[in-house]
Amino acid sequence: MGAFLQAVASGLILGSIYAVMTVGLTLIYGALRTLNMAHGTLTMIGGFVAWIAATTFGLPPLLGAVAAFIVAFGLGVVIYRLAVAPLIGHRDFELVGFISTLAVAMIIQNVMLVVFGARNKPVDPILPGSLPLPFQITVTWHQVLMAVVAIAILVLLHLFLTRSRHGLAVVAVAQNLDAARLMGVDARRIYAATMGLSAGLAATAGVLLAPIFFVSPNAGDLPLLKAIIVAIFGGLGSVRGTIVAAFVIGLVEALSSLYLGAKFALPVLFAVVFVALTIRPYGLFGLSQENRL
Amino acid sequence: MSATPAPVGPGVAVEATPVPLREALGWARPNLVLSAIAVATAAALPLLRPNEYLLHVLTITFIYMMVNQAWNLVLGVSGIWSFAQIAIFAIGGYTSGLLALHLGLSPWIAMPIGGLVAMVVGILVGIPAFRVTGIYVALLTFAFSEVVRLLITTDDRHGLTGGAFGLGGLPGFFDPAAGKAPNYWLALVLLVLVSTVVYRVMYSPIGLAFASLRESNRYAVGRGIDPFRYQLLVFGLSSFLTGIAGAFYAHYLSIIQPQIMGLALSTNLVAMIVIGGLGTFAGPIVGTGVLVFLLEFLRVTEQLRFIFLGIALLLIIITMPEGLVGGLARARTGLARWVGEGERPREEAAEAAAGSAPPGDGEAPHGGSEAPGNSEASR
Repeated sequence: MGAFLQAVASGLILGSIYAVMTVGLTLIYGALRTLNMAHGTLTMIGGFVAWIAATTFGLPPLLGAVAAFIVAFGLGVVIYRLAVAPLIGHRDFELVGFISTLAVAMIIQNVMLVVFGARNKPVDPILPGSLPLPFQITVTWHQVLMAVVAIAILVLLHLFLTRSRHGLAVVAVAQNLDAARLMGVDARRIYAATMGLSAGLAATAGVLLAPIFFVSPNAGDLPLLKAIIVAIFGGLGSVRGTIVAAFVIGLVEALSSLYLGAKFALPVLFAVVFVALTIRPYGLFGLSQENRL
Repeated sequence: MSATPAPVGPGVAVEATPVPLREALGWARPNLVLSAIAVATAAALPLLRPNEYLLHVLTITFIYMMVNQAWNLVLGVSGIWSFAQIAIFAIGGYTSGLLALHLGLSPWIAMPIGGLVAMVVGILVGIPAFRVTGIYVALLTFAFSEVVRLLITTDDRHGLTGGAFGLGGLPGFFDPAAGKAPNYWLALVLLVLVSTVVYRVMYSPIGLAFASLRESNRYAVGRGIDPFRYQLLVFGLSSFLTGIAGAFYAHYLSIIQPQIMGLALSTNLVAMIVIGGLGTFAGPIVGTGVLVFLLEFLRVTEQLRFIFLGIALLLIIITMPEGLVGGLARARTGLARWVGEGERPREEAAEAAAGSAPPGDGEAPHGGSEAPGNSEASR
């Protein structure tokens, strides 16, 4: 019973952080119709900024997180300008965008490797200690903070996308580019802003993950993999689907590590996605590619 | 992706393009004489008694060329976003290695069996994966390769596959005393065979079917081309060739380890294909040759060379998305046209040079380019 509850708790916490990580990826796919393969490195950058802010400048964690968001937002816009904007109009945009962002990931990752070395850097949890809970369930305060921040971010994002002018413009571009343009939306500016916002979200996730997984130049690989799984499971371009999928994937992962062993967590995850995609080829909430375009 | 950007979409005057149909469809033909000279030079090289290290690097290069040639058939020619290539390569290697170790089969017999098993696995992966398109295929195939990697990595050291330590002590094709040359020649022969098969497929009705699927999906389907069947066919064939390459790799190095299935090798190989020219016949060969040697020369710079590789990949994909081969072919046709005939209307030439194929009425074949596709309006 205790183990089961523990797995459920871990699954929900994992799910909330996956949701923050993946929402950015799916926003970009919605607006630009390509995957950003540098998304994982932006998560890693977020962790590094938090680490530098804490160790070099001695800033409090909250300021570190804000700094990470701002740095990543700028980096996202730069990536858009250098690697994505020149390709717009290419007829295989989905593929060339995929490859050029992969190149960006390669550059960022190796630059970080040269500058900071491959060694794992420990980061202190933002809140120490853990919750007093029955059944020997361990949930640290940091994990609680992760879940709370993640859910707050998702709510803010929802308000931004449904209430604000700029958020509505992002949604409009994702839904119908031509109609959005006719309404006077500058699509290119929206693309840049979407890339920036998504990068900021990835970095925020990176800040929250840093105390759990350490900070290192390769720290973004696993988050990217998980984010892609979640994004595709939920249906690319669908924010709602992404959030549902993130919690499902988090729970599946935690429960399969409990009952089958950690070594099978990822294979089971893939198997679930494999079966799900065979039954629903465009994810839980995704529309078929024909319909969306 | 296309070598000659002459668009064959609706509303474009096809009769105005003086290039032959196949070139118009995007694939520059390699020069037979040049290819023969290159192969002959490569075959004669060991006679000059170069050092063993050069032969080793070249043998590995030939293996990568085989893998890339087979991968390009899937990724570039057929537009299947498969990222299972290295997993299939490893399956070929492991199958052949296990047969040689446990059943005592000669590598010469185990290698084709490795290819066949790789083909069967490829088809089994393809059946569910090709129900979807584009990025979803990328995930499913990548997922498959991660599962293979994890299952092998987490295996016990004394288990069937040797776990993370790999499968060692595999018998080679030749007596080790004979040096590297026999293996080098065998790799060259295999590369020529693989390339010939790929070439035949690219310029066969199968290749034409994929060209038509890419240019106008609905029309091609309407003319009776079943994408699923053709994709499965090409993927099976590519998996067979890849499995052979994997088996050769395993027996040549006498070890195969699951680490090759990490992201690094796959990324490097994709970079080679794209820099050479995705979807062109000579692209994987040129790209692999150029990059392996650049990376080898830059070995002293350690991590810096991968930064360089990333920058090169980014520059190539932005400035000439059709890669070195496609870019050079375009430059040559452009030069020939410029020298040959002045009567070509200027704006048409400019349009061809810009390489922007106007999207048809929503027929972007791989589903992707519609949204940011209409960049004319924002210029």
